[in-house]
Amino acid sequence: MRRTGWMGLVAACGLAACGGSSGDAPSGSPDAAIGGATGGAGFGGETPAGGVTGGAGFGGETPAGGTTGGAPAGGAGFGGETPVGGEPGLAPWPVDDDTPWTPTTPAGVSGEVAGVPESGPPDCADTFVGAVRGWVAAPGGAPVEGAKAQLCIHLSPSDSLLCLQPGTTGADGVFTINVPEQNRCITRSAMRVLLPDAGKATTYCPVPVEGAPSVIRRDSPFVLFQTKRPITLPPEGDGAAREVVFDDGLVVEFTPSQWYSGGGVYDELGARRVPVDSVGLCLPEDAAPFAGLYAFYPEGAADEGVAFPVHLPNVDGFAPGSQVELSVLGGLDCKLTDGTAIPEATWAVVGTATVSPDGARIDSDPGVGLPCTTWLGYRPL
Amino acid sequence: MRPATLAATLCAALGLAGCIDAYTEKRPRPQVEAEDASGDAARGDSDGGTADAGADAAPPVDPCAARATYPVGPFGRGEGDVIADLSFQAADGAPVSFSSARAECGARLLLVSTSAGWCTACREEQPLLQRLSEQHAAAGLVVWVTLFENDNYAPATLRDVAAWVRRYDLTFPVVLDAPFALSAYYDRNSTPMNMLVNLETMQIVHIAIGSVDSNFENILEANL
Repeated sequence: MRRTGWMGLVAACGLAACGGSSGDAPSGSPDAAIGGATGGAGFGGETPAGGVTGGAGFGGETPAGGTTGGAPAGGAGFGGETPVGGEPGLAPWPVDDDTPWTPTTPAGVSGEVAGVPESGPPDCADTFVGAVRGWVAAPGGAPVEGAKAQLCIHLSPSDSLLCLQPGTTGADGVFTINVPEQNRCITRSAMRVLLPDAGKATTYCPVPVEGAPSVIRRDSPFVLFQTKRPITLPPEGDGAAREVVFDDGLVVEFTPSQWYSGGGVYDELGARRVPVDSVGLCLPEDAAPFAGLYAFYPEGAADEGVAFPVHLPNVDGFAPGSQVELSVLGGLDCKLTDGTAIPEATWAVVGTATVSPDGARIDSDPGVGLPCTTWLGYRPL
Repeated sequence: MRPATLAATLCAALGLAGCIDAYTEKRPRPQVEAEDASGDAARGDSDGGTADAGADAAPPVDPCAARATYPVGPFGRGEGDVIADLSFQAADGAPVSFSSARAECGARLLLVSTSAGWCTACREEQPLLQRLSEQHAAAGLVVWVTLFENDNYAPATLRDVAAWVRRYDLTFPVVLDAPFALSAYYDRNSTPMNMLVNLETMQIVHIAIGSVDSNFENILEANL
């Protein structure tokens, strides 16, 4: 298994660079179409009507694309009205608006943080951090109220890991995390941001501390992407694998009994393709850009040694037989199949996938797959 | 020391030397006087029950019986204080409290670790806690993990407890602390907290914030 970057893994983006571009995916591009699709073909299948049930699963006839028939929702931003998916009994989720946008940092981010001196005690050989402040938005820029922003820090000099109670965003999306006074000398840190029980993918970003001021202010937003419910979600049932199918053709061979989440259940599974140039992504800085990116919900992890095979629509038109490299974002308890932990906010290569002979899909290679339901990225080899 | 005789030997030692002072206000002092409980004597052959307390001594006192009563206090929340008999829920839903850990005669040190689903540091240290439990069980270490919130910062449930045990293949008790009673003992903004409690006296030996490090292990071992 190949790994690169920090601790043998692909390092995540730096604080200043996490904002990504302004999101210039053209409307009508695969990403744009997928983002707003209300129906869309299941993987290799016929275009379903409605997109709620009956989508063709893995193994159908229609070649490539997976986005044919995906009708842009058009204008349904955070809190929008267009529902997608939805198993019986589950409330539909709104659909993100993937229209390019330019973030405007709320004034509250620059506001004073009381009780934090500019510098720490002389015996702090690393970085003195008293608070972290930032903001959380939905695609399009609408602030997300009630989101949780959590910081885990490595203490100096012991390197003991400590996680802090989250800050909660206000109406302007701004949060503040105050670091307890006795634990302000730190070596490194990462953030976890989520809106509980909302179907939005949890996101992670590193917070570089070297040379940082005592109050770290993050101007670029954390963006929470709304996932979509699958169009096919077999009952949880026994311990066998299930083909969970999403409207753009993504298929995950998911085994509920080998998956653990303390933040949701199998019936609430969601995923969506996210434009790789979206605002607010935390992507690897030291590796080639991803060709495609998926976000999952709820966050969870497979049992140790287990990875769920995935099949992606080949919207990039990669040649049959060519390979891509799959990476996942480290979160709660996410491990490679060899047991190596993937640190929070760190991307790790989990293996390869191969474009199917008909060019329709990209299939994870044997033994390769999703070790955790966080984020999945892929790039051509 | 032979494991088979450890529990009884510890009882003899602890019942005489350690357990008495903390609860004399609530229960009669055992007939065996403290001065008889000097280390060497108390650590004698367990078959003798009371070591060499003397042939003329009163009928042997079951030192383990002393463990059935919890110290009456005064209770506190800092190192050196006697900790109150906090109540939790066991994985099966039954009420459980520190007194049940104390009731195990051979146990001499309790490691209580607060955990939450959202706490990466807590998750990372579960295998370490399991190792410590296995490594020092024979010496009298008892490990408890208390789970207070799930991944979404909501109060944990028994389902979360069961999943936690399965996830980390833990053999020590994981108990539910949904009201987060232990938050009174440290800055609740920081998790995990690892606390060592002397099970003879129920005094808090040490409180550490953050995942277990080598310093904590050294303190733990020094108290076994």
